Amino acid sequence: MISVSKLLCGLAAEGDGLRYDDPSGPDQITEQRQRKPVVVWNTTKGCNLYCEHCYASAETEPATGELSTAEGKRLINELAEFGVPVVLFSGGEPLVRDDVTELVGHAADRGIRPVLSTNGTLLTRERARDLRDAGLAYAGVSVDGLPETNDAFRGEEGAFDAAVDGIEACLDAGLKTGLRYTVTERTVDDMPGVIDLLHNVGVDRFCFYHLDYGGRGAAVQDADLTPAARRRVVRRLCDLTREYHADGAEIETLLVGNYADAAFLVEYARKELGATAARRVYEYLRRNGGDPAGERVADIDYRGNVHLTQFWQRYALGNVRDRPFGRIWTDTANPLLARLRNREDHLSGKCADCCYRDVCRGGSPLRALAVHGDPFAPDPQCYLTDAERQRDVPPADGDSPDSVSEPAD
Amino acid sequence: MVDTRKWTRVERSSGDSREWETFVRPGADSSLRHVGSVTAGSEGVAYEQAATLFGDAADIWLCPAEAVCRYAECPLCDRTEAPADA
Ligand code: SF4
Repeated sequence: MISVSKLLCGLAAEGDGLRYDDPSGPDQITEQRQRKPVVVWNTTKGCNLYCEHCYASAETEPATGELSTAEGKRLINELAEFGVPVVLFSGGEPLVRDDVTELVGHAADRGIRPVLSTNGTLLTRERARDLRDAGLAYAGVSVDGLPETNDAFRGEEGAFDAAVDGIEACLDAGLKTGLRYTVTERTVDDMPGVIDLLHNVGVDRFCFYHLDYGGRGAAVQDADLTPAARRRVVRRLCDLTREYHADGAEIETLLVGNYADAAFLVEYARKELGATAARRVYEYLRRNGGDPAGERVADIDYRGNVHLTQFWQRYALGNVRDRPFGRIWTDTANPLLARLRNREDHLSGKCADCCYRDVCRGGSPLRALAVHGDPFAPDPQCYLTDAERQRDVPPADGDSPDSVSEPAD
Repeated sequence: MVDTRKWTRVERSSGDSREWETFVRPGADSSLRHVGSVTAGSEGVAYEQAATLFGDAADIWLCPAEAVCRYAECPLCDRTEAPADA
């Protein structure tokens, strides 16, 4: 997760300590990196919608074998004991589970920061208040485009309005609430309009997800952006963020799921803000550590299987019903886990000598696996130019902003 | 005499997917080790997936997850407040 607003506008946003080890403000860079993973828990495979890109391949009916409430609480206990800082309650749609508020409360009681990923359509005012009272720290509501685009993508007319109602319910309850938006060919044009609309509703945090090729996302690869279009949209987001901030609206914007974005942000800063700012951006991102699969993010699915990321559902390291999470996660006798944690030595192709491999680490291993059959091959969605990959980093003072040119389309 | 009460039989389901427990022999002289599971509709696809993830292995074994009887010292159903060494 890369905070565009923080890096380009110096916004000290809540939760950034997890991404940049920077609890004391934007000018401090510490040595400590996040050591324990944020855990995404797909509490159910059931969902009231049927979205085209669902990484969990959720169905309208819950699957058999879901962890029970008691099992979920035991799991939370051991995640707390292991030192997991955040649990993201996800699905399917987590709010189809009646016990989700109880589980959120249990996590908060155990010192874990509980956050929610939801399609928003089941968020009534009462439910939002209950979640707030249980200790929910943040609700991320998925919207993918303006009403027509979103409803077609999500398979239900009225889903957009219902999600906005849910967002308003959260904001009324005083819950920190943000947007989750998956950027594809179909949703990209609506992005500025959705930011505008939701900012007027009161949302100030906007997370943009690149499509990863897992679950139903693998089947909609054709709807993904080309690398050139991706570059344009990331640039647009950088520009938009700075425009909002210049107008006094301190929105928080984040990019998730493609660490070529990290390299691009350094390039953007070099061009727009100068070498000193670019160096600072580079240092932050180098500490952040690049793609987090198998290290700073873990996923536990509805049946207890532990995955390397929430999108990589077809391979599991183990199952928490058999073995505690901490033992599964630290078992580097697993050759794939060991290689992922030491991936700098295994990157191939253009990543092997890329100057940005410290801030990117080859991008998404899952997309590389889906397209090249090798998780250590370059991310097919890397959009950096050859010249950018061969620069001097960190950026030196002599770098003139004019020396960075955009590639021709 | 072994005290079999030390272990608990783990009851778990693969939900609505077919899951294959995956074992690899990292080198010709090493012993087989469990490396997790892949989810795939058929043995052929499961094999392909395991082979792309563990391409260096000398041997790959796959076993339908539902055919495995699991006896664990520390299964989730027995765990209480905090596991000893997690
Ligand atoms: S070439 Fe590889 S390491 Fe460099 S930015 Fe692209 S994906 Fe990342």
